Amino acid sequence: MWDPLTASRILTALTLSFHILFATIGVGVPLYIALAEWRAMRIGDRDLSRSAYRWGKGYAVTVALGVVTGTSIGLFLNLLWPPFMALAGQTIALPLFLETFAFFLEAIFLGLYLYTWREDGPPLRNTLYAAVIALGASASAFFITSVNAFMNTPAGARITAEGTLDVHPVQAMFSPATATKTVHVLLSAYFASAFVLAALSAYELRRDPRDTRAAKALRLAMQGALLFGVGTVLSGDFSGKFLAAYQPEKLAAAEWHFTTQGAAPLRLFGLWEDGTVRYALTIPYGLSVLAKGTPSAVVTGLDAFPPEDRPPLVVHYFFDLMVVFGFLLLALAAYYWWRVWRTRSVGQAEEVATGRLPAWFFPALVVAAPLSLMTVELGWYFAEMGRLPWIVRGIARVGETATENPAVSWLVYVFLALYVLLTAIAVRVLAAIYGSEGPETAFRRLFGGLRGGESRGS
Amino acid sequence: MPEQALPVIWYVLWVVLWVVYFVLDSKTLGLGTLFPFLARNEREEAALQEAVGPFWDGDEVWLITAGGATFAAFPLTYAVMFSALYVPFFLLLFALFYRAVGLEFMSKVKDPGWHNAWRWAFTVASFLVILLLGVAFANLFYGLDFDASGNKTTLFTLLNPYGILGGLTFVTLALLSGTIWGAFKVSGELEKRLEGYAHTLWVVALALFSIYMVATANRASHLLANYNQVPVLYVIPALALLLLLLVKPLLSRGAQLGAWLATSGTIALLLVTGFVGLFPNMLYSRTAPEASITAYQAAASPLTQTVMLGVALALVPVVIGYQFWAYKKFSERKIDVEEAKGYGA
Repeated sequence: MWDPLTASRILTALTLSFHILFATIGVGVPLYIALAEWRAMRIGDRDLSRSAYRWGKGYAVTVALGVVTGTSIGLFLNLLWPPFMALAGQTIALPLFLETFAFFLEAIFLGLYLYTWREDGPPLRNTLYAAVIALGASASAFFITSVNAFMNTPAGARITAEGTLDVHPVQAMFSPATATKTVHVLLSAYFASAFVLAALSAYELRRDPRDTRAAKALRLAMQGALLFGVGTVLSGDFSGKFLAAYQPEKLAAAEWHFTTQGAAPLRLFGLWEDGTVRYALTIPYGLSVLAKGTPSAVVTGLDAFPPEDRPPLVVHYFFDLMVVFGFLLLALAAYYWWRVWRTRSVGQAEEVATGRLPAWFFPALVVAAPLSLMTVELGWYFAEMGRLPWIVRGIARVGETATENPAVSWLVYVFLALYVLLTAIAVRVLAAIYGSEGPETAFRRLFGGLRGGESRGS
Repeated sequence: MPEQALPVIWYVLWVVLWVVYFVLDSKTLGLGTLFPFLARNEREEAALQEAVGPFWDGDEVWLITAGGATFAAFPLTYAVMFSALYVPFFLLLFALFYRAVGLEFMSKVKDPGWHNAWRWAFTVASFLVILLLGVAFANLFYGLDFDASGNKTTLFTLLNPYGILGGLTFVTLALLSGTIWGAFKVSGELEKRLEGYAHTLWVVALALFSIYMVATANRASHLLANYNQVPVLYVIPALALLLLLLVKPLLSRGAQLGAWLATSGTIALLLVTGFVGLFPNMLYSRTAPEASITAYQAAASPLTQTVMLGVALALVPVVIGYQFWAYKKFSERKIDVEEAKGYGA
């Protein structure tokens, strides 16, 4: 059994870890549904509209799970962190309230989209419904992320020993971190979701290389992957520069930058042993360039902060792995487009997919889907643990804001069981929607015959 | 704007959000509770699923919005309500989860065991949601058990006779709402069967409603103060009763939508009756009335309430408009049992 603080932290981390999976898909996938319907309308291609509806059915499953885990978080905020709510409740109420309206859009129009969709239905209607779902989904991500931004760079209130005074909800919602955080979260959700959808198409193409509907769907997903991948990298760079200016301890922990200095090197990976970094790949001037844009710039190190205010050093690994995985995924998307470009005389999407891509590319895409979600998880672990020891930076520490109720401990098991059950159900239901082969057949189909070099049926 | 106006406006808005949620979700919860007893085969199940499928998630958002509004506009109410009602709220969270997953997933996998398990999960969870909400709100009107030193409400103090009676009244009204809504949506033999259920349920609902009203007058007399001060307010419970009495003749004449609206009116006015009696309290303490929390005490800062009010006034009508439009769109024709889409994979 754990003490209430530890239990509260485990339960919150557990819930967020599960929620982020469903939320990322929930934010990204409707964008692709809308894009597919839009293009289907523009070029009169029913295949794309069919893909969109197929994605929509799976999306509805993840929405149901996102709602459950999201509602859990709403409940836990009050149940596990009452002092935090007393402190920050008024300042974060506005985006939480607005989020419910974004969610209305999503829920009402998802019902409309799924129940009125017909293959020969008016394409403008499908497109508009899907666009509103996408708008609602992205808006709720914006609102919720602005709450996280407030926790990192609190604004719009005077938080004193007597309580929270002079609350200005709008200023709190647009705290300094809001811009970089929301943009990075949205773009990375679009980026990761592209791979979730690409995995589905890749699997379908592995099953039937002549499946032109899947080939067109893959092409759309890869367009998104390239575009939003570049966007995610750029917004990540901005986020780094933002941290250097506003949360230097977070950046310093991420980069294992211990002493404030100019011409700071960039450390990749490595081990922390007896007070020194070993086996790290070091790039001279790297950190100064990344954080400030010039090789000689002074970058604040962890030594500028008292030990009790420093984030845990483990975030370095989360950060580095996130970056490496992100670039790996971007490379996959770039590879697809390089092959398309090289074989451009052939032109047609379906031919590119069946014959012009090597056999390994399809299982690689299937593996990329969980990798992309893991990358998002790593990013959030970095974001959340990088804020430690604070729950609201500079104002309240995590350790001071948990409930004292000892009953929280057993809730960890109850909710762990619930989330595992949820995930198992989701997998079973999604498998039923997208082809009900057993896992063994699916595995063999994906990874079997790879040594042949070329994909079958080309 | 006078200083005291904002909390009052927000109190009204708060009531509206809860009422809209109760009215809209009652039909899905009622149909869900009776689901295995109403449908005789998979086609009929699909038709019943389609009768509520496009709406339930949009309806449930009203619950989240009502919770969000409590948190945003009356933080103190939210905090105390949570500590007093946290066991029912946890059970509610689980019940809402099984309701959603049961309804959405039962037909997704072709496996009898799976189907059966989720069908019963849907049924039991639907019943629990409406029962828990009914008991919670009856207790809200009846008064909770807390004083200046903190919460003393437990699950057992909530399960008092008045709370249980209130819970059962809301359950029965939801069953009535669900069967009438189902009859309005589907056609054929299933429609007739639903109408038959509705006629029987109406008798039970009328009886429970009447007993609940008598119990309120006798056991929760603090609720009568506002009524005795402004007697014209007695119109509200009277109208609730009148609408409930109208349900049966409307149903007999085949005016299914009218009967559903009348049932919904009863549910709405039953809640309004309680809230009018409660005002200006939001949380009434039965054991220490002086510790009760009023809307004025619980209100967030005027700036916060003003900003939130702007948001609510701009967006609530938009949501109602779209939802009304969606309802209208799906009510253009009846669901044919043979062609129902349901929730199949």
